[in-house]
Parts: sequence; structure tokens; C-alpha cells
Amino acid sequence: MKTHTSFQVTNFVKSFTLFFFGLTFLWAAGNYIAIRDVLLSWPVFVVNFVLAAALGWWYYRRRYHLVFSYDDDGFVLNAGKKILANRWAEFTSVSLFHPGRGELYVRLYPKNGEFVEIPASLLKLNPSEFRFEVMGFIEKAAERKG
Amino acid sequence: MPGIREYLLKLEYNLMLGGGRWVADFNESFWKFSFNEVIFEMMVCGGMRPKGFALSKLASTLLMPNYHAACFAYPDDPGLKRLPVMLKAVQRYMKEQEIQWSWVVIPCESAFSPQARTSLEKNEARDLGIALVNLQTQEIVTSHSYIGRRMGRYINTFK
Repeated sequence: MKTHTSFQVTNFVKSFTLFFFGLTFLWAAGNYIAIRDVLLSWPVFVVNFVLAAALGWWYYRRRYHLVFSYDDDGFVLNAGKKILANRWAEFTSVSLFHPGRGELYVRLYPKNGEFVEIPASLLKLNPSEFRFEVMGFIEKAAERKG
Repeated sequence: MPGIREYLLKLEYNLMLGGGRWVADFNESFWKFSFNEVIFEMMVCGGMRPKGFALSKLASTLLMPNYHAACFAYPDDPGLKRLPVMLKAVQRYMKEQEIQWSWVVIPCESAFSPQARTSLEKNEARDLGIALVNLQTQEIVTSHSYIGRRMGRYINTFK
């Protein structure tokens, strides 16, 4: 199975920022409740920064990190803790979808039911070539089915 | 000379991520698109409301009509013998999917026959724009409808 993974800087920065401001607020609120003052110093900033980076990394891995594995039989897409696994034979058509911001997804349509999306650009795959590769897999799977 | 596949890939890119976004928000593309026993090499479809954030989204919701558009492409028909069947399928698809206007692009690696040009000029469908693209000479001939006249610059990927 081929495996693709990519570090999404924007989503990591989003996670880091969330925890950095959250911890800063908690520190300030805790200080104010306890001593009616807010203690600010370089060590506090460094500890906050390191803690936010660690929590941000944990949250990023849990929510956003993408790992995509595929072969000519099917694929497994891990988006954070969510796992999506399918066989190509379950789909009948493929499209290239542009949700915005220049990103391209490969959409897979089953015979009945909801489509499935593979975020090709985020996985640093070539969306157009990957789409043709998937079309080939689906065609072969259909031939095998008869 | 670009091959048909190369031209269509450039056209797809131009519609989805390039200048085509000024005409419509072409956001989905199918290759080997099959409809009514007819297969188009490529079909790109989308809406008229571009995506955006906050103000641009509000502006597009208030100012832009909410209808759909599509671009169909099928290659190698220098005599336009397949055109009537293809147009019938396009019009049926437009009716089914409530698409308001469509482009039909016919790229060809050889010259189109004079009859093909004449039959293109005769086409009076107002909701369709048809273009003959000669990949050898890089000449583009479009139908005379408003939609046809407008499509030329967006399907020209030779620059």
C-alpha cells in the first residue's frame, strides 16, 4: 500500500493559537482570583509557549492530521481520529472538486448514497494525476466484478 | 501542438482555478462523463455564486443569481457529425439539472470542414455556446450566441 501523509501548517498554527490564548487567559484569570494581580514574566511566557505547542500538537494529531494509504483494491484515510476505509469497487464515478482556497479534492460517488472526498491537495498528491489513477482503479474493479 | 488531453487539462485548470472563475464558479470536473449513452471526454460544472468569506460571501449572495452552468467537451469531430446527438444530451442534462447555460467545446487535431463552420453558425440556441478548437492552428471559432461569443477568451489556453 502506498502511504501519504502531510503536515498541515495552518491547522497546527490554529491549534497552537487556540491553546496559547486559552492558557494565557487561564493564567491571568487564576492569578487575578488568587492574588488580585497578574504575574507576567519571561519564564511564564516560555512555559505557556511550550505547553501550548505540546497541547496544540496533540490536538492537531487528534483532529486534523491526515494519513492516506491506498492500493489498487481500496484506501484508508485517517483524518485525526476519524477513519474512512473503502474499496474502489464500491464507487462508480470520480470527480475533481474545488471547495475553494485553491485546494482540490477527489470526490468518489457510489452507486447509491453520499459521496466520499479525498483531500488530494492537502495530502500533497497531484490531484489531477491521482484522479486518473483512481478512475483506473474503479474501472479495473468494475471489470473484476464483471 | 498540444494534444487533446493536454488541452483539456489546461481548460479544466483554467475554468476551475484560472480566468474561468470570472464567469462562473466551476467547481467540479468529471472525465469520461457518461449521460444518456453519450460519453463526453470532460464536463466541468458549477454555480454562479463564488465562495468567499464574510463580505464577499454576502455580496455574492445578494448580487449574483443562483443558477448553474456547465462546460462539456468532446474531441475529434471535424465534420460535427456527432454534434446533434451531443447537443441533445447536453440539453437534456441541462433540463434535468436545471443548468441555465452551457459551453460545448470541440477540440480537434485537424482542421474542421467548411460545413462544420456553417452548421455552427446556424446554431441558434441562446443558452448554449459552442466552440471549435483547432489544436494544430490554435484557431477558435465560436457560435454567434451571446454565450458563444463570450466563451472564446476563457477556452483559449494556448497563450
